[in-house]
Amino acid sequence: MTADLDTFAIAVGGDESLLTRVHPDVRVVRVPMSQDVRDPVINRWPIERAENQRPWTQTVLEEQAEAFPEPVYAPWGPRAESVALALHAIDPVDLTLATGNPYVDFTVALALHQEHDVPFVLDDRDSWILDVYTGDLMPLADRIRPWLDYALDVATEMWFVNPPIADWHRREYPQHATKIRVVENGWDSTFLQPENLTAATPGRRSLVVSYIGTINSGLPLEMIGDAWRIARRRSALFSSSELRMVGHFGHAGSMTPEQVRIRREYGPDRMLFVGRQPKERIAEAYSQADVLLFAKEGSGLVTSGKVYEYIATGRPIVSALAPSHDARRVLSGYPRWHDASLESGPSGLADAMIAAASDAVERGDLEDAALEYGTGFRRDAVLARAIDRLEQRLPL
Amino acid sequence: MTDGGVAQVLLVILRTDPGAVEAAADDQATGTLRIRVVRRREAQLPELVGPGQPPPSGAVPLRMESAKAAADLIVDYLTECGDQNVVAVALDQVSAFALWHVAQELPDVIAVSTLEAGERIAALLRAGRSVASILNAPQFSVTRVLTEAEPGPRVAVSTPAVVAGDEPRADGRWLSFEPDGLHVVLDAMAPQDRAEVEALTASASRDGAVGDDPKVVIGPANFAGQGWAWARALNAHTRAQAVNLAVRTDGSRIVFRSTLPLTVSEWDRPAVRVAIAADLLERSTHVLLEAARPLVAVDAVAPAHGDGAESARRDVEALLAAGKQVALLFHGSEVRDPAAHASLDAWSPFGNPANDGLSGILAARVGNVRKALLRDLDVLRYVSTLDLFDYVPGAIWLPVVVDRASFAPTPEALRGPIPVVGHAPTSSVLKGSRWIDPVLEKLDSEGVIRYRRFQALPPGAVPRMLRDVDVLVDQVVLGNPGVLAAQAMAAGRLVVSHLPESVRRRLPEPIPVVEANPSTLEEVMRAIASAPALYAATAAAGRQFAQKYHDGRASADILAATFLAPPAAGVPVSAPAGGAARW
Repeated sequence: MTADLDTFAIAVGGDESLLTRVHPDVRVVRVPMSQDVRDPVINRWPIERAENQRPWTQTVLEEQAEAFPEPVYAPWGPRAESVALALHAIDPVDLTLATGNPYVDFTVALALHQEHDVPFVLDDRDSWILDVYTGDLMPLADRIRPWLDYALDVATEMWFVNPPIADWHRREYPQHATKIRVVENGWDSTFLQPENLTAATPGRRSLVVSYIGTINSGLPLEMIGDAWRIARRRSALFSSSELRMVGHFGHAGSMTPEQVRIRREYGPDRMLFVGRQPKERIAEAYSQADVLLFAKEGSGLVTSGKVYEYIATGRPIVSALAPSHDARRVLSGYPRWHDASLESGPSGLADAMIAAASDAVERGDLEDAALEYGTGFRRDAVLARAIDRLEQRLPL
Repeated sequence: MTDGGVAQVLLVILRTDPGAVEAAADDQATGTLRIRVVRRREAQLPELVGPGQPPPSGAVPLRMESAKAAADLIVDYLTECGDQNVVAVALDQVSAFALWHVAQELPDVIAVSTLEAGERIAALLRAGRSVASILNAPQFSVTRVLTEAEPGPRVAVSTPAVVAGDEPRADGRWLSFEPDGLHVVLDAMAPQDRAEVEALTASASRDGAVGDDPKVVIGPANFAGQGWAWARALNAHTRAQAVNLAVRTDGSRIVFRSTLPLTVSEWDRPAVRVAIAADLLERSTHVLLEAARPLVAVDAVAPAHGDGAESARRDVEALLAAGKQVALLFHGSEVRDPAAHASLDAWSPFGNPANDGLSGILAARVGNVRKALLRDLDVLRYVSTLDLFDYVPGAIWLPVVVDRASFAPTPEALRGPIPVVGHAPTSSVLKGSRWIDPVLEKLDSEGVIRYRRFQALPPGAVPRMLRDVDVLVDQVVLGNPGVLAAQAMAAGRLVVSHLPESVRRRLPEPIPVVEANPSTLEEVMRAIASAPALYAATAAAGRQFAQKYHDGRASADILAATFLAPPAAGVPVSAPAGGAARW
């Protein structure tokens, strides 16, 4: 069950290339989402919004959060519950797997459980109550907690993306510690077959260093640009090379003024912003890269999903991460990892880039070991283990 | 508007500040025009600066008060752009307001607030999507969602006939139920509302008969989720097919389950109410109208808010004229006259001068409800709580229904050394929390009880909360046995609440609720704490009481016997006057 197509086609954008890949045994039920503050179509705006957007938006968000502690998404809950219960009357549901965010999804699982005892799993790909970037509780934590307390009480399992977040919840809810599991994001072999990636060509001097992922405002873009500039000065390996930033800008897809400035500033250094690559064609972006740049804001509670794709490729990876960043846990077993902590600044990152480039040119012998390490994080394998454990708990 | 099979789309990007002239390299290829509307410093009126043109020297950004004048210029400009789809993008606040005005004049221009959305919509139009389908999304319908997903056996879905026109009716109604379908008067609708309704009517076809079982619509209040609960009870225990509609006010802190959930902002839109009329009411045989609120407001295309009793009356008349069986259901504050309540009960919150403001508002509403719905309307009247017999002559008690989770086995109450006491007010004033909290906090500090105060719990979490307490103090001033008290009884918890003798006598058996008012609460709680075993039987009796009256079967039986059954010849539709419970 998910939102209607116009939510993506009109309001928020989305990668529709994946829709053709949905397995034919999966029936998709689309419940329309009222866009409210996200509605870009001015024709539909009340005059109050057109006259003064900010206070209107603020009021609506506050009202939405009153009903359910997740503004923007809260209005979808009552509709989705209604559809889910009607669906159950036609074709009984055996198990609900609710993935957040958005966390309004959890209300559907709760409704089916309350009305019909349908067991459910809460699959939290982030954390509802905890800001994983700061380690603080979310601003709405006091409103979230009664929901989370209740949901955990009746859930079969609750999944989190990494051990640090899971451990935090086990400490908060020791009575539910055995229900709380780590199910990592992994990488999806549907879109990335490492064995089919174009082989890197050691010895080639025109290298491509690629960052592949969302370009958020938290990404240290200027530091990356400076590091690139320094690396090009220090090493002939980069004399005719490119740094490609492959990805969507933020959530809405538009560049901030700062990002526009950086693009202009480092363009002459061959730092190129190539835009989003549809998921269906993400393998092309990896194929074209000789070195992968991994940079992600956050610290001990953040892993990111992208690191799993990176280690699947067998390519050298240069990283710019905070010292406690959880992605280090994933990268630490990877034989072609070239690390620079954020504290080392552009110079340290530049040195790591040079080391990774040397690896790409001279250490092709490491590729097999790197690929083997990545295989352990393939998503179907990760999910198979999770499902095996779940089946032991469920009377299916 | 097509060019070799691809729809032509003009993307117009608007700014209202001078700034640097900008143009993307592919503007011509993508059919993009960048225009500005600015004002020269010394001028009164704005002027439009065309694509590629520099703004005039001394130009200043527009302010909001110039947005309408800017819109006029843009309308003229777009009118000259010829016959093609136009997507207009506002890059700033004033542009957005200007384009809002433009959309009122040129409803086929799609105005958007971000360039990315504009590009997405332009792509949709080029791919053949119609302007109407982008501007007017189908109204939310569970049937439509499931039909598109096609689970289980194929279900026939019909689109009701809706006839729309501009001719105002003599009776002033904009919506009416006629033999050939719903009639909608489009006159006086704002352009966007009209377009939405017209999009709804575009696919009209009459549906066939769908069986003889009663089709019941309950709505629109759904207080404490009771509309849903009654519908569920009817579906479980009778042949009826029941649904409920819930229109919740913006800012509602607790949202209850419903078949068709709507916010009041959604309900305000005429197209949504046409859809309610078409999808639910047209097909219904019985309508239970809650809380003196209109279901569709047939008399007002733009309904006022606050007091809809008169509109509710018009809805009732329209439904009766269309051959539906209609009954009224009252929940509480819409009929509970504050002055009368204060005269009946010394502890009434409406006797407290601090609540005079609230009392005044409620009194006005009750007066309107009485006038519109209780004086000369011959339909069945139900009340959800026994105390409301004092305010609704001839009413029938329709017991509230509690969810099955409330009946789940729980540890026996009052077995521990110190009773755990809960209080969970949805409205502190109406529950008398100002009396309850100090007493319970004091007793907690003395170690006599353990006090747990709950607020804004998810509805589904309430049974779990009740499982963890021995005693629920519900309210001490209003004298009504509400949903939470019924849930607590179902869970076998001891309920302490103020229920006047006059209310208690309305049932043949004792109501297992321990009486307390603000002056006696402390004494009652100390008595419970000192001899819990004496009260355990009362707590256990609560479960039996709840099973008899509040598990849904009783409510379904009452509705089946009084509302769904055809009226016997010679028996008036209204129930006999009197204060005794009819059940």
